[in-house]
Amino acid sequence: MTTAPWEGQKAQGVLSARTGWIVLAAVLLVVVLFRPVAQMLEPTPEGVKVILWHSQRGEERDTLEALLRQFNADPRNVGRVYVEPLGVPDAAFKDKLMRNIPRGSGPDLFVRPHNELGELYAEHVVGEVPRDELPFDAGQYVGKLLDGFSIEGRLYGYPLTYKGLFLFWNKRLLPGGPPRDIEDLKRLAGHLPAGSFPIVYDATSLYFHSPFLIGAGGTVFGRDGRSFALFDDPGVGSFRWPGEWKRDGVLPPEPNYNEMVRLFQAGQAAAIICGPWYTPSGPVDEAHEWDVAPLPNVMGRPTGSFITVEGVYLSARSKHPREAMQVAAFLAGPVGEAARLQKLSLPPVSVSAYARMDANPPSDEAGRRRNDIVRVQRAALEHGQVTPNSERMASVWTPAMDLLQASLAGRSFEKALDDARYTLARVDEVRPTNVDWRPYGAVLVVLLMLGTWQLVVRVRRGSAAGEAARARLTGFDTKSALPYLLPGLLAVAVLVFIPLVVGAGMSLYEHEHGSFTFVGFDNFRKILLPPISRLLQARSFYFALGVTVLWTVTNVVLHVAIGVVAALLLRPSWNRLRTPYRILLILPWAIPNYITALMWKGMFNAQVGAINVLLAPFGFTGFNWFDRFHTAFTANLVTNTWLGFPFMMVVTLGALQSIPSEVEEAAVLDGASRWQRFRHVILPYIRPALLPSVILGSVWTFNMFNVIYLVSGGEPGSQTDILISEAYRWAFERGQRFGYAAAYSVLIFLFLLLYSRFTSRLQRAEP
Amino acid sequence: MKPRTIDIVVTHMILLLLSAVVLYPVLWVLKLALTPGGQLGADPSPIPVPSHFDLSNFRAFLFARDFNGNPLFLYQLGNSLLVSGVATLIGVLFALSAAFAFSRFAFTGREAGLKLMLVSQMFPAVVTAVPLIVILDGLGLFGTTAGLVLIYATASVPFCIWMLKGFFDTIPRDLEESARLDGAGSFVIFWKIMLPLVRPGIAVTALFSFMTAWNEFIMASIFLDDVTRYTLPVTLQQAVGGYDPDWGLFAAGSLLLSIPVVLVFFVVQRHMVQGLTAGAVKG
Repeated sequence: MTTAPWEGQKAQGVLSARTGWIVLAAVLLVVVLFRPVAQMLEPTPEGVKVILWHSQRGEERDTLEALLRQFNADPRNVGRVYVEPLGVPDAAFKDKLMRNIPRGSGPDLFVRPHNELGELYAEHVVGEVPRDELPFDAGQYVGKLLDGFSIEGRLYGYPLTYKGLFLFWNKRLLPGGPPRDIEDLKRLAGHLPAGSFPIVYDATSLYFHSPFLIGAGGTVFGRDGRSFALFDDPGVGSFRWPGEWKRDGVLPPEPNYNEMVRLFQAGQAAAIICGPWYTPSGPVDEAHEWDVAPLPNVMGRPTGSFITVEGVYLSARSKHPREAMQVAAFLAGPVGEAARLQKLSLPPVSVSAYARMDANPPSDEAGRRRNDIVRVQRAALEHGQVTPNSERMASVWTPAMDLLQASLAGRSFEKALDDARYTLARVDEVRPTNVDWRPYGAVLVVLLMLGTWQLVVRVRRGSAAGEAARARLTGFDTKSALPYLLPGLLAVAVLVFIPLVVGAGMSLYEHEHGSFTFVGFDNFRKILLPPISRLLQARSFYFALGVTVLWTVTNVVLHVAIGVVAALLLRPSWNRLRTPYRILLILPWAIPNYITALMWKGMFNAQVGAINVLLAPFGFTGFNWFDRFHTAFTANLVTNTWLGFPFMMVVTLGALQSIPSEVEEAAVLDGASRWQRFRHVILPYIRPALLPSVILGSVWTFNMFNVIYLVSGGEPGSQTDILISEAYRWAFERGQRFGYAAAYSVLIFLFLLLYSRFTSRLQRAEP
Repeated sequence: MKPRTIDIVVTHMILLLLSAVVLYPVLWVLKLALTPGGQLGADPSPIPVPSHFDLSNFRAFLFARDFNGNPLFLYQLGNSLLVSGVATLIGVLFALSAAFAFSRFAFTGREAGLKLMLVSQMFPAVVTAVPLIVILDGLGLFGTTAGLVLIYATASVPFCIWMLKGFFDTIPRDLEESARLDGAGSFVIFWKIMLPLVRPGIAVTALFSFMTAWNEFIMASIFLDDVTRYTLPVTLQQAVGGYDPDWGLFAAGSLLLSIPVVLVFFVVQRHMVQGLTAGAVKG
């Protein structure tokens, strides 16, 4: 039989398809193996490798890397020691440190602000630095920089630079020069054009409030460095001032960071309190109307602010501390200091650098401005306080913010003060007492025995039944099923069952500072039975549960509504554009959802987001969507609805195809209106198909971590966090509280289990 | 049924509005990607048509290098392919015979087993993360590629069993009946009859499992510390985390990463919905 011409072509076609796959597979293999092979073939440089972690970006990162390359290229170091930096995202930095260093992995050095020292010290991740290893003499350091890195007199870091707050002021609104005293600014109230204010700053932040706290003579801790003095005299009075100033028109009605930037750049703020990371742009810059000045006097005396010192820490478990200290000393020494001043305008740490600065005034405008910014920060350092590095400091930010918010909102100051003091008092809670595990162990053994007995009974009963006997005859019964099930069951047992059991077990432990303590049901008690006053606040289980339920319901309702409407509109055959519409409308489902979430986060960005630009005619310029619960929730909702309606649309389209046309035609002939047709003909047909999808969709939404975490990030203050993102934060962001997070997960799991029971009963009820 | 004019107008109006809402963010991202420096300036216009045509963001994403000059994009692409590929392989291989058993055999615990698969899909990865990380840490696999593969395989196996069972269910029984009458044992039926017929189902399941692992970023960002071992989603998310997000770089990266995913999705989606809803209805 001769081969027909088209048969030969088909054979050729098969060949080229096969070659195509082979080529693709080869390309993919090359890409996959590229890194491992390249890393194997790379010659490892001679000498000790020092790993340095940092979270810097942009120009700071470039400057740091240039300095490190300089170190590596130095002939004294080549062949003996070299440093390799790694950029780690800021938000995850501390947790990564805590996870790695106690296990002996992680960096030798890391660059972090000084105020984290207390926590790092408590976790035993920092190593002591002998004072004679510092690149400058101890006395050569400006102000109290070394105090920032000291605990009980021992030094743990090398200061690199510091940041302080100062004034940016408007030369047009203050023709007489910068305000010397806060009273000057208060007097301006009412004398400025409408919409302009004497001073704007982020009045709910303790950090920006610090100049006033310090000016009033307040401190965070008492003499012993442990007891809280923040809400005691004389500092506590300063917390009333923002409220008074707002009422007197000294502060605008919404004194937050974005407002501060917006008003100043529009030329409507006489002075703002900000730091070196900010450079004014917009009209105030174009008209050359701004300048910098030290903070104004408070109560007749100069004041400073909380100072943050950036420095290099040594890991407690570094395998090469000598070499690591060499790198650190270079980075923190005169070469690094000069580079940071020249390229980044960061204040130097040695007294001699300032003397040099004063001796050689720069000739250009940029250089003069740079020196001014450095000098005003030095003033903030001289009259201010290095932010206390105690780990107890972490507890003061939120109650201080709450108190400032209460002052601004005009709520009862006394009550808010009580709340704040109560919060601080709870910080010194009793440590978990060691609970005896034996009764729990006994109960577990009994449960296991009962469970095994039940299992055996059921298997016996199952194998005697009729269907099972029939199955044995055909060779498709339990015994023959075993070898097929084994690989899958093994994988599930190892990968799913074991983690679940370990997770459930972990919920009975408390994980602190790297070790587990058995606490019985204490975690569950803390989650399910919090103090009544905290019950309905953010970060409580019930609050998160409520938000999650609200989130799920609103999403599912919107997804189904939009999906069904779109499907109905795409149905009629007269619509020639059906297919292009359909393909387009599936697009949100196709895009990976973390990309969608980040995309929408960008669109809701206060400064450059598309949403605010579109809504600018309605006054949305600079509107911060993530400041309030209902706007942050809306942002999440919009994102997830954009993501989720295509799924419902596609399912409905499929279900609509199953409606027999005779039934619909009959309805039309009977004269049924469109709404009646929908309710009595279409709906009963699509309901059985929609129901499983709605259930699936509701579970997906309930667990939609990516959107919540990436779009609103739980802001404001964890209020938009759903149960699953809360569990995540307890595990990975609030100090490795693995036991607590595991208890949370068990509760989520139980809730979903109940929900699946309920929905399968619903499904069975469907005719 | 001849449509009324009002029907046509309303239908197209609503569909056009929906299409605009769908397209707007995508075009806006495109505009961001083509704007150098990722800043839209002090006066961003709401029209999502690119005003510049600058490829520097794409270049920055594709040719990023780390401190030692290693080509990051290539490394991370390889990592993503490796991790997703191996996790999918594990998932499909281990799931195949088990899915066959669930579909064709009658054994004790069959219903319970199916329910377990379904429930374990409801249990999100973030929640099993904590015990998994503790376990992997104990095994010394923390921060390694192998550890991440194990984490992804965790979600992959139950999902593959469930989906593959659905595909096995669609194969009519008469084929096996006749084979059994001819004296074929269960293994012959599995190997020679079922597997070849369910090949498209395997492809769809593998693809979906691959996509899930490919798009996963949260476990990867917790787990990996070495930038040469990052997978692509981690890099993308880091571009806009922190205090000075680089929106231009992010936009370029998302476009580059999304296009292949979207294309594959359009090819696969018809089967996916079938598999998901059919399985759910039949139970």
